[in-house]
Amino acid sequence: MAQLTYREAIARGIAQEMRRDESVVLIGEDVAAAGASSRARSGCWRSSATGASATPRSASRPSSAPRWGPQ
Amino acid sequence: MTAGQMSFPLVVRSGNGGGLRFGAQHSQSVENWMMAIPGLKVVVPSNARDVVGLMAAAVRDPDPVVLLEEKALYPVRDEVPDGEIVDTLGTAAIRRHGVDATILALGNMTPRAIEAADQLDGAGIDCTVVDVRSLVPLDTQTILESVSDTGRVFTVEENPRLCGWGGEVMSIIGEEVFWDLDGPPIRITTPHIPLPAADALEDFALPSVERIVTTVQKAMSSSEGGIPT
Repeated sequence: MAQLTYREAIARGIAQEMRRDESVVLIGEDVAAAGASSRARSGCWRSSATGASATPRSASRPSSAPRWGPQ
Repeated sequence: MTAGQMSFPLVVRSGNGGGLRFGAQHSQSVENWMMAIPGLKVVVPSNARDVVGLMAAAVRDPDPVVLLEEKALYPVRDEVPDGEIVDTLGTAAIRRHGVDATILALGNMTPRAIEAADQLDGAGIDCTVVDVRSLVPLDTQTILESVSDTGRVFTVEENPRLCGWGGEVMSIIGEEVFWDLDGPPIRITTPHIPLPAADALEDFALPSVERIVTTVQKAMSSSEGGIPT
């Protein structure tokens, strides 16, 4: 039994599924190394570096490099 | 849509809801928008354990699932069992058993409904609290059985009143178990307004423990069973 915040539980749930099935990927704004405003994916980037990809904000300039796939 | 020839196993995560003084732009409760789109499944966990279980269920589902993360609950700590946790989509959870009335709540409103039910118990009104958890698919069996048992039903909804999820649930209750009801179904919701940013106004707009308690108390004590004006 662990005491987890709702935020930490999101990371645990995603990590549980990424470990189970390597075809599970996480793609989104602020989900990878840079961290998120919600910080809800903490640890996923480290636990499965090839499975998380950050996408740019729709309003950001193209130069704010989207990072697709493995870094 | 494709007669089962294609699946689309996508989970869309999104922050949801208010209470954090972010103003109308960043405080929407969009569960009712999501459930209005045919083909999408919609789940809203109310605690850390359910986040893991419903996330796993959503990821394993062959269809697109929207998982709404309640922003106001991010810092809330709960016990989560070790090991793999997998829930089933379309299952509600009964958080509290009572005989006088059923309170249906979702996401961030669930802890408030439970606290209100505890206070109501002290005032002699013993409520069941059903955590709806999944709007699509909806666990109508658990909801209807509880409403039939208690004879009174209330929803606690963070979404704006107009076209909120409780409207749909109450219409199902009206169609299916109308003759088991002992009084009018009553919805406790945020009004149909852009959510204010000011502390006092935001607190006033969102369903509070106090508003749940007083609404249920008034409805249960009125001879007509409604809310006295």
